[in-house]
Amino acid sequence: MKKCRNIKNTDDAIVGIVASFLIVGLIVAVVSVIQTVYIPKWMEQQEAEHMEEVGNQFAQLKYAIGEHMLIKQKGIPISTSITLGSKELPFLMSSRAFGSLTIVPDQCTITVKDSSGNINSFQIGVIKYSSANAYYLNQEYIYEAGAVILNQNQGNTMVIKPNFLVSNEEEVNIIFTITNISTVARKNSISGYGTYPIQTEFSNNNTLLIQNVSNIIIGTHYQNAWHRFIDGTLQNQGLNYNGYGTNYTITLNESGITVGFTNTTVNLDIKLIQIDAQVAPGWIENIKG
Amino acid sequence: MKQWTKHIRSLKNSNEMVSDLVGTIVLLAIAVVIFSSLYGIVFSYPFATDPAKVTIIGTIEGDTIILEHRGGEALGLETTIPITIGDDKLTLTVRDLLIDNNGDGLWNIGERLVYKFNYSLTNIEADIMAIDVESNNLVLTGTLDIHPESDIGVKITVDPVVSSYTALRILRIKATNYRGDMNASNITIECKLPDGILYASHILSQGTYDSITGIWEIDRLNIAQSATLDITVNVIYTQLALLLDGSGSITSSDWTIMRNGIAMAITDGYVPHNGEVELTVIQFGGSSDPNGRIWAQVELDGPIVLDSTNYETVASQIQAIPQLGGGTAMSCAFRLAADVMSGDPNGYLAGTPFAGMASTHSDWPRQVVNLITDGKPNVIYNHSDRYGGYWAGLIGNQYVHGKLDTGAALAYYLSPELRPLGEGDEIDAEAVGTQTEIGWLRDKIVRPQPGYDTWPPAGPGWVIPVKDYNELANTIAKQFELIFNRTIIIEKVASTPLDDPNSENNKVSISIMP
Repeated sequence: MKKCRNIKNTDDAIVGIVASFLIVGLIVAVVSVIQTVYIPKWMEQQEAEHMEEVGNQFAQLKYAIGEHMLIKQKGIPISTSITLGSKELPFLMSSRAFGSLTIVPDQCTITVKDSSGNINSFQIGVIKYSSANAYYLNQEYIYEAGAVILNQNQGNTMVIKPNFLVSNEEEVNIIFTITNISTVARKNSISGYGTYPIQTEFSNNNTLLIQNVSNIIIGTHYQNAWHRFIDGTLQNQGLNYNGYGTNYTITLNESGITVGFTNTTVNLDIKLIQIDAQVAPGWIENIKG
Repeated sequence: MKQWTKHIRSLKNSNEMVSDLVGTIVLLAIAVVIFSSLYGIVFSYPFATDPAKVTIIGTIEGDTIILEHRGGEALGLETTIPITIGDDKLTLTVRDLLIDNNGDGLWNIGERLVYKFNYSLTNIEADIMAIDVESNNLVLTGTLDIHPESDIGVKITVDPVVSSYTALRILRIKATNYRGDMNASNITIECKLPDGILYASHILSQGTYDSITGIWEIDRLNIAQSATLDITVNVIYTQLALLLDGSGSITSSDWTIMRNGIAMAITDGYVPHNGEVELTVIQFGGSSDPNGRIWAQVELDGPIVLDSTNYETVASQIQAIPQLGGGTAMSCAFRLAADVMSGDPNGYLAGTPFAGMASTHSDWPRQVVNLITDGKPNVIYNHSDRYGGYWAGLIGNQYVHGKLDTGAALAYYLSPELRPLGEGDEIDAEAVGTQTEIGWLRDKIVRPQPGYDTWPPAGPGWVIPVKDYNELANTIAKQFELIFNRTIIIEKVASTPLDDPNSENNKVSISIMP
């Protein structure tokens, strides 16, 4: 009875508990600050760097396809790789970023009309990477008709230009090399966060010379990118967009852009390059034989 | 004191303090370990301010600075854009410059900031920055080179394209500022006339032209403006003498092949038949007897000006020229050509079968001799036996003396009393087969010197080795083309202070067919 009365009168035990609570509380506070403030920033930075890496990988992919266009030889597949996502941090709580790589057939249409009303149309397949980021804004990289386009929710821009050569002499001569991507053996998509290969191989090529072109219609989801590119390219060759002596007009609508030529004779030399592509590891030989 | 001593003694007998100390030390140890771990793992990551993750591309298009958002986070309207061009320092914001395509009040992917500036030749750089004020970070910094462009091009025309008995033609050089960022000034254009084209006069719409240096200076050309320079020149009326080796070493079939080749070149227009070429055909050969006469003779009844009415007849007459045979009287041929083409100022043709055949066009500005031979000369010219001679073997080595005599005949052809070698004049040769002496023809006969023996030659004064008469017949047209179809005028923009985006139209050339 006397002992109990002694304990009630002492504060020794309370000091230990309070000290423990204070230290644990401090740790929790520090970890919470890191988790809520710094982890999102680090992850956003990491995902932004990953998107930059994907951009570089698409440049490599365009380079590889450019090699095919140059050598025009079947049976020489070239493999490049795309990193689909980025990993989480090895401590505390964070989320992985995922992505998907898809070959989409007939995603883009290029239509050419001449002054006699003849129409030539080309369906173009594209390679598309879409990110599913947890922290940074989502982006898409698209290889379309020889161009590499960066697309975000707010708009799009062309990061690598296609082979679209314009010479303005007595007449305007345009050489447009269009790359059409086709899939083989249904190896047309993959998703996840690892680094996966995409193999490409030359299939065939065709050329078509269209004289007295009146319109070039590019059916694309990325109107702004194509508009800026074509407008800049034609203006650089001294063609007038507006005002007296207008040589061309560009009209944007939901389905794409229309380039119309006036007051000038335009000849378009289209070189259509067919590229077979497969995503995911392994290469399936051309099953069409 | 007593009470204090008692208290110390009681503590010594208690373990409460030990327990508190151990507990506190353990908690401190845990805290140190955890904070050390946090420091090692977490704090090794950067704690810098969070910059905007965005890609901005800066470029100049004409007189406009363009900053384009090429992906990443949107930037606010208050993002600061300092621009420095020369002494002008501006601090603008995205709000001032943005073309907001989607109207969301942010600078987003694909959207551009556009700033128009005034060109000045002294301001050649623009320092630009983009500062995200939210994170207080630079998202772009760099220097853009300002190179105002001006596409100056030249065109040249000749009037008339083909002359009909008029010596004067007008070369019209037109310089145009096709497009550009600013009006061009201090333009220099080279319009030097090549050898053989004689300057007469000029008229220009702008600037000054020095006919000696060929420099046309234009002080100013506004965009879309042109200036013209009309230079009146004398065209190259040409006396052409064909010296044909008709010696016995040439078979009759080869003789026919050669005649047909020359006739076809005339028919096909490689020797122009527009009244500006006087053709003299001289054959050399004669007796095969060592003691017999060997000579040169004028064919076609004398020199004839080729025109549209007679060229086919002339071609037929060439096909019908009979072969002399005999020795290689090259020196006789050169002396006869000299007297005929110069209008015979010494009167040497009188009393010969060629009396009255002296050219009446010896004042024409250009003389060309084309020698076709399959061997080396072996005849000594005898002036008393006008345009005839004797076999050089009678006085020693036939070829040594034959070549020396031909050299003397050539000196006569080029003598001041007749016609020293003038601008545009040339002596060329075709050496057929393996019995010719290419080096001698190249170094001693053809003019001007140094001569050439490669095809195509680097300039006039050439000897072309051909394998046989078939090859000669097949190539003679090209050789005539080389003689007559001269690319005579090259005009180019020598300098302009502005960058020229299209150099292809800076240099033009034109051929004048005499």
